[in-house]
Amino acid sequence: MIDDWRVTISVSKISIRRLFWSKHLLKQVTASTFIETKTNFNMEQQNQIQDAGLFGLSIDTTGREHLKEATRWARFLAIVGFVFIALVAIFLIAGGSYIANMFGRVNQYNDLNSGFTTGMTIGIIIYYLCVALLVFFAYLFLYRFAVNMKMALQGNNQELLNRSFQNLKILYRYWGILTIIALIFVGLSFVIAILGRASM
Amino acid sequence: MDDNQSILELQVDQTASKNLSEVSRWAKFLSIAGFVFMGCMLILFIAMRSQIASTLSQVIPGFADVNSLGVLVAFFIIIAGIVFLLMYFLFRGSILIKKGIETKSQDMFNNGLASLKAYFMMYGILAIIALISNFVSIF
Repeated sequence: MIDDWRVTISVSKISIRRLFWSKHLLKQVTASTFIETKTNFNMEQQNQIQDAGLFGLSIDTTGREHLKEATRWARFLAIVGFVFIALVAIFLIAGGSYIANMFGRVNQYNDLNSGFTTGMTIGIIIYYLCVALLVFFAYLFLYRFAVNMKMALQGNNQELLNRSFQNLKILYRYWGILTIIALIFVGLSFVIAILGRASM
Repeated sequence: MDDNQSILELQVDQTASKNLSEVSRWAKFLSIAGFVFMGCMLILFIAMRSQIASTLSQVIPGFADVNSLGVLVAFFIIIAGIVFLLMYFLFRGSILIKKGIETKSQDMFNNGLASLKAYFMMYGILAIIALISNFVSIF
């Protein structure tokens, strides 16, 4: 009898622990997208000198040329992206009345009498500002990749090289996660459309 | 450590190879998503080409003649080709970098970096074209 109790208690403990860990893992995964901090550097720096001999790959002259060229273009792209985002943000914030006016003009041709309200205009502006912020982060990672790589190649600095690759990793992971979210939304909209058709 | 490194070449050490294999994993996913997206667009375009042509003929007055559908198809093929090339570079780069790290092959790794370079370069050139076309449309 007592054994039975023990078993149930331990099972419930395990399930609670599992729940905790899954929550914890989720938190970790979401946090690690943004916070790729330098905690690992100090630990792995000590191993690097020993590892260097074991790993045959290096950035030789060919790879260096490729990376230099890639860096140049990535930096250009990032700067263009920053300027573009700044222009969009300025347009959204300063041109609010213009946008409202534009929607007002749309309302004139709208027979359905379900025009855009001021609240909707503000909502749309905030939505696009959020999109601009999301894209800004992507360009920030790209810029960091480019700048760190350039300095690493100039000063032969291993730590900066690693940080540069880390930023490239974050960049692609970021785009990947955004793509997955977008795909989920596309799938949801398909499901809603099909359900809407079915109920009609 | 800095003194040591300035004589030696930069190494792709454990941290870097871990980061790069993650890069290649996500880049592969993104490129495949791009391919699939492009395929869907192509199917949609083929399925709805008459509707697209009729819609455009309302907006653009001289669109009604037969040649304009050919122009539309050519335009679409050019855009699809550009996107395909871009995604191909990303895909090739990701696969070569990953294989280069796994088999420790310097040649493969360098080719992967070359593909990555081509990808960024093409992106940059497209950005320049977009900027120029924007400026032209403003003035």
